[in-house]
Parts: sequence; structure tokens; C-alpha cells
Amino acid sequence: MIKEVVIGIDLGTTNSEVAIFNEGRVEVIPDAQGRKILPSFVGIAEDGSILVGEEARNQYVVFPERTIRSIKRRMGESERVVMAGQHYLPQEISAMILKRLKEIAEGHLGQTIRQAVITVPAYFSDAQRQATREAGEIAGLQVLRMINEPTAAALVYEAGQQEGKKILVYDLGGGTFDVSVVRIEQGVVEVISSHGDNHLGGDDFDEKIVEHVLAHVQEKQGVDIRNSPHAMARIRRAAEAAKRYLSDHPYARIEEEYLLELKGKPVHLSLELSRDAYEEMITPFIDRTLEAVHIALQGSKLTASDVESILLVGGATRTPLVVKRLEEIFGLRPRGEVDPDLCVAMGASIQAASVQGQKVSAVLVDVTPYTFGVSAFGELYGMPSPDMFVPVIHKNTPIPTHKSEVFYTMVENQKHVEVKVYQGENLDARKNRLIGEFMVEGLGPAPEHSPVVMRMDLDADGMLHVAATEKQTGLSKRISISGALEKLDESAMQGARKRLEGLFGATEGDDLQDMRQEVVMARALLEKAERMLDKASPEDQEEMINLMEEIRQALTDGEHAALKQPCDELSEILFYLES
Amino acid sequence: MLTPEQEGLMAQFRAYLEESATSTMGASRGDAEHVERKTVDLYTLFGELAALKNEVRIESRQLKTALEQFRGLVEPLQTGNAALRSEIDRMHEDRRDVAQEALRPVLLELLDIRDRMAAGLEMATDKRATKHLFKRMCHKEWEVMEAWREGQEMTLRRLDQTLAARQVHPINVVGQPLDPRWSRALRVEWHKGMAEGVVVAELRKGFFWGEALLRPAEVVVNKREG
Repeated sequence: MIKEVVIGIDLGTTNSEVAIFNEGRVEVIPDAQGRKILPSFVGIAEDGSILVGEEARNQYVVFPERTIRSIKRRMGESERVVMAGQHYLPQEISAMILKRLKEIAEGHLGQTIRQAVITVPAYFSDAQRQATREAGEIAGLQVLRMINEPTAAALVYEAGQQEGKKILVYDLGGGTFDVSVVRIEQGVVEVISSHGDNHLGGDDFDEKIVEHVLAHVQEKQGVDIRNSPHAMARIRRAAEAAKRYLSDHPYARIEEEYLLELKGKPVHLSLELSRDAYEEMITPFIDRTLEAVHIALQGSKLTASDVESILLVGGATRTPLVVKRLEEIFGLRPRGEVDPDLCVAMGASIQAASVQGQKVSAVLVDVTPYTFGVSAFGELYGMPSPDMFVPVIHKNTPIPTHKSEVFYTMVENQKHVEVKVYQGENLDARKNRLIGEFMVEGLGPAPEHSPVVMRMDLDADGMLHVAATEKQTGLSKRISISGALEKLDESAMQGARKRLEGLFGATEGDDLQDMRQEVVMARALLEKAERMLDKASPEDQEEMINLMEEIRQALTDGEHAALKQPCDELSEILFYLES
Repeated sequence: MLTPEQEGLMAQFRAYLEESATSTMGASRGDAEHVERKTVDLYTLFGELAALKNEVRIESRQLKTALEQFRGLVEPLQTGNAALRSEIDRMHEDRRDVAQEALRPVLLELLDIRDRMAAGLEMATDKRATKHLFKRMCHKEWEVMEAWREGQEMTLRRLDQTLAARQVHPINVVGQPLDPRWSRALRVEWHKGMAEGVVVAELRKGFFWGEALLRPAEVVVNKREG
């Protein structure tokens, strides 16, 4: 007898996906062309047939009157939408998407599907949820459960989690942003609070790069290419490719030869975009998402230090600035190892299996269990040191992977760069495992702060290739390290610790993890104080401002010991204000 | 209906009876009294017949059981063979899929290079451009330019042949009604004298890979705006 399969569906505003949980593994089901993502577009073709997905999207620009997009925004409304002269309820349009997903699953599994678990945003009202349920029924699916999208994401990472845990789910898609604080306990996920912005996403990042390129061409060539559809189409593609490239590398070169013709002469585009410049462009967008994060935290009555895990959902979270800013606020490295585009559908399939009584577990991805990086000159224990550990490939990154980071020379006309490669997590490189070292010699004459790009390629067999390249000249040196994923045995680790203690003595308070915790607590306190400043009396306000300034100064100076007193005093005032 | 095995046994039994009857008759000449005792013992004869019949039945039952056991072995063997065959087919298919999936990004990158070459060549062959350039160039430079353009054309042709050898073929969409299965409309323009919904220009060429779509065409479609 064939077992009844329950599918998990992520019915998204921009894209939708379907997944199944089978024999302990989650599979996102591709269509016949191998595509796992179905654009949430529905249309009517010239011959009256229904188009769903890519095909409907392809005709949208020409036939918007017979194509519907983003119907999810209309769910729960009683007003009908018009498509090709016919009136449809929003749930009827959604049903067409669900039906297509059902067919994809049936084609793949070779059996009829009757039941599903569908995800909805945490903020969906009862009417919107009811409309989604109806959409499922119209599509011939019995909706066994409807779960919140952040719940689905939490299940992907934490299914089977027994102990209570507070998690922040940061979901930045192509055109929408949602953030939720959830609590998971004994396998049950509860959304405590959520907030979002319906018109913010990775498409805005693309647009910023496009504007940057247009301004560059205008400046260099004196030509406005907005009127050339051909050139604009190429620039949009190049902008998106550059955005993706900058997720893993510090520089992206945007090159489009024969972009257009000007007075009989071909115009080429060649522009380098640094990650720094790109991050500056998108900072206002990230700031907006972080404001929403604070509002969600406020709604959950938690502070940043209460959050134990951060999960990344949505393709735009691959942007390193997102990870960096969240890490700064929470002192935790966000997790994004499960494909953020498919994560919600996977969670829905885990819930579906759970409903059927199957034993479920978190999704397992091949990741590196260690961080790999190099030592560089920086601040360590509040002092300048050549042993600051700078990660290049972070722990929990799916493998195989390749990442690059940029470093800078220390002095003018520096002749060589010594590269020491470490495996470990400690900010002090000497406390990590040295797995390789090499020297790049013969650097060209260049001013100080000339960039050197460090690239690391790690494959699934634990082979790590490290290359250092002087950006200006292309001079490069590389090494390959085998067995990079092997664990340093405890005796060797003890030996390393002892050697270090021999050098520095058993110093008190050199545990950087503890130090990090203090910093996070102080930042959280500052954030809370800023929020409550308006509620305080003028006298309290003055005192609070002084204390906040003192804390900020201690943080800037790296004087962690000086944090305790002002933090305690500020906490006391806040307690008084809250009570 | 007797099985061949049963018939064989019956024949043997018949031969045995006939032989024993003959020997009995021979013996009767010598010892009539003894013969009479043997031939009259019909009860024993029928008893033995019944026992023999029973033995035949048991043997044929054993044979049947053996046949069933054999059949029982053959069936899983056949099922196993079929499963193995389908597993081998699936493996071949998977290997083909993996090879195809590995080739797909390479083909897409090749198409990207092709786009760029074609864009350059288009500019070089643009009559307005050549006319403009021609005015400024001396004859020698013009010849060099032409030779360079021809060389580029040949390289592009070679690339197209390489792609065609791997079943990658361009999709002809200009002048055709928009087919959303393989063309993505990026903008609309209005050209009088052309039917609405017809593709008027390609912003990027589309390609099939065998029967499947490798890359959709990006097009401009004729439509009266507003």
C-alpha cells in the first residue's frame, strides 16, 4: 500500500515552493525543468489556458490585464481581482499556484497528493488564514495545518529541540522583509512577536547598483543609457550578478563590452565595485530592517542578549552586511547554512511529517565545523597585536565553499606579506590551530594600505586552498592544506594553551567569549536606555545620558573592566523607570 | 488426467505385473499349488496397488511442492532482476542528469560570451557606424577593420557550431506572437503596421537545449501603450 504523502508548501508573495520529508530527509521538489522555485504569478494565455509561474511572469509586462502577481498581499479581502475580464477571489488565484505545486509534487512522486501543510506570515489575520485554507481546498488539498513562516524556519534548524530557546528569524526576500521572535520548547514553536516592511528587499539592492552604474556611465561617457532598453537589460543582469558575487568576494568587476554605440564608437562598461562601496549604498535599507528588529524585540519584551539564536531566511540575507550588523547587535553569528530561499518550504514539510507521526529532526547540511582565517595586525586585549584572528570562512558555512577577504599592507613599499592560516574560533590567532603558512614576496612599490586579497577554497574532503593576491599587480602565491576539517586532538590543544600561558602567564580575564558577552549586554542596555530616554524625567535623562556616554567610551576604548559600574547604575535607573 | 510422470510409473507397474504374471505361469508348471496361493491373493494385490497408488500420489505431491518451491525462488529472482535493471536504468539516468546539470552552467556561460561577441559584431557591421568610421579612416585602416570583423564573424560561427553540436539552438522569436513558454517580455513598444503582441526585438537571444529550454529570450513586444 502506498503511504499517503503530505506536502509542505511555502506560498510566498514573490515565489512559492513545495517540499516533502522522506526517510529523514527533506527534498524540495523541482519541476520538469529542474526549477525548485515557482514565481507566484498567474496568467491567462492567448488561447485561454492558465499559466502559472515563470510563463505567467514572462507575459506580465505585455499583458498585465491578464496576469496577476503578489496575490498574497490581497488574501482575506472580499474584493475580486480581474484577470482577462473574469473576476476571481484572491483565494482562487492562490489556488492556481497551489494546484501547480501539487501537480509538480505528483509528477515527481508518481502518486496523488491530497494533503498539505501551508505556511503563512506570522502577522496574517484569521480572515487571511481562512482564505489560505480555502485556496488549499479549491486546489484539492486538505490543509492539515497552517504554520507561521518563522515557525517553519525554526523547525528547519531546531526540530527536536527539547530545551526552551528564544530565536530571532530575520527574513529578507526579494521584495518583503519580516522579522519574528519565536520561542521553541519541547518541539513546539510559538511566535512571540513580529514586525516587517512589505516593500523592502533584495530588489532594492539591485536597483542601487544599477543607479551606481548609470551614474558612472554618465560621468565617464557623458551618456544617459536609460533610453537604451538593450543596455538597460544588460546592466540589470550585471548588477544582480555583481550583488551575488559580492556576497563572497571583496570586489566585483562589472564589465559589459559593446554596451551601446555613441557617435559611431562602441561604449564599453568596465567598473569595479567594492563590497565597502556596495555596503554603503545599502546601509539605509539594512538600517530599516534593524529598526524593525528592535520593534520586534520590544514587542517580545526581550533584549538582544536574551536571543539565543538568529536564523536567516530569504535570498537577500546572503549579503554579508546583514550578518555583520546582526552579529554586532546580538554578539551571535546568525545561521544561514540551509538554503535561505527554500528554508520555509522545508520547515513546512517537516511539520507535515510530524503531523503524520513521523520522527523528525533538523535539516542536516554539510558544513564546516570550524572557522578558517588568517592572522592580521589589529587590536587584541585592548592593544595593537599582529595576532588578531580574522575569519575568512566561518564555522557552519555549507561546503564546498570559497570566500575572499581583503587585507591591507602596513607600510609603504612593503616587500612581503606573511600569511598564517588558522583553524579555530578564538580572536587570538595563537589560541587557534596553525594549519599552514607561506610568504608572498616581491610585492610591487605601493603606498601603505594597498589591498591584498585572501581567497580560501574549501572542498567537502577537507582540502583547503589558500591564495593571497596583491590586487594591484596580480602577484599571487597559494598553498593547499589537506585534512583541514580534522579536529585538533585535545592533547595538542592543551599543549598550545600551555605554550601560550608560558608566553603570557595565566592571565585573568583573557577569556574573550566572556568579554564578548559583557559587550553585548552593554550594547543591549544602551539600546534599551535609548528607547526609554523619552519616558525619563529631565534629571534622570541627564544622568542616563552621562552613563550612556561613559559606557560608549568604555566600548570604544575596549576598556571592558570599566563597563561594570556605569552598566549597573544605568540598569538601576531603567528598573526604576520600568516599575 | 495423469501427468507424464504418473503415466511412466503406471507403465513400469504394468510391466512389472506382466513380468510377474509370466514368471507365475512358469512356476505353475513346477508347483501348481504354490501358484494357486499367489494368484488368488487378490486382496494383497489390490492392497499393493492401493499402496503404490498412494506412493505415486505422494511423489507427485512432492514434485508439485518442489515445483512450487522452484517457482517461489524464480519469482523473487525475477523481481530482483527487474529491480536491478530499473536501478541500473535510474543510475544511467542520474548520471546523465548529473552530466547535464554540470554542463548547463558551462553552456550558459558560453552563451554569455556569445552575446558579447555578437553585440560587438553587430556594431562593427552597423552600416551607420561603418559609414561614419569610413569617413575618418584611410583605405588601409578600413581593410584592417574589415579583416578583423570577418575574423570575429568566423569565431562566432565556430562558437555557434560548437553549441549546435551539443544540441543548443537559438529560438527564433522576432516577428512571432509572444510565446511566454520561452520568451520573457521586458518592455513594450508600439510599431504601426505590426500586429499587437508580436515580438519586435530581442534584448537577449533565447536558446533550446535539445527539446528543453536552456535560456528564455528577452524581448520587446508590440503593444499600444495606455
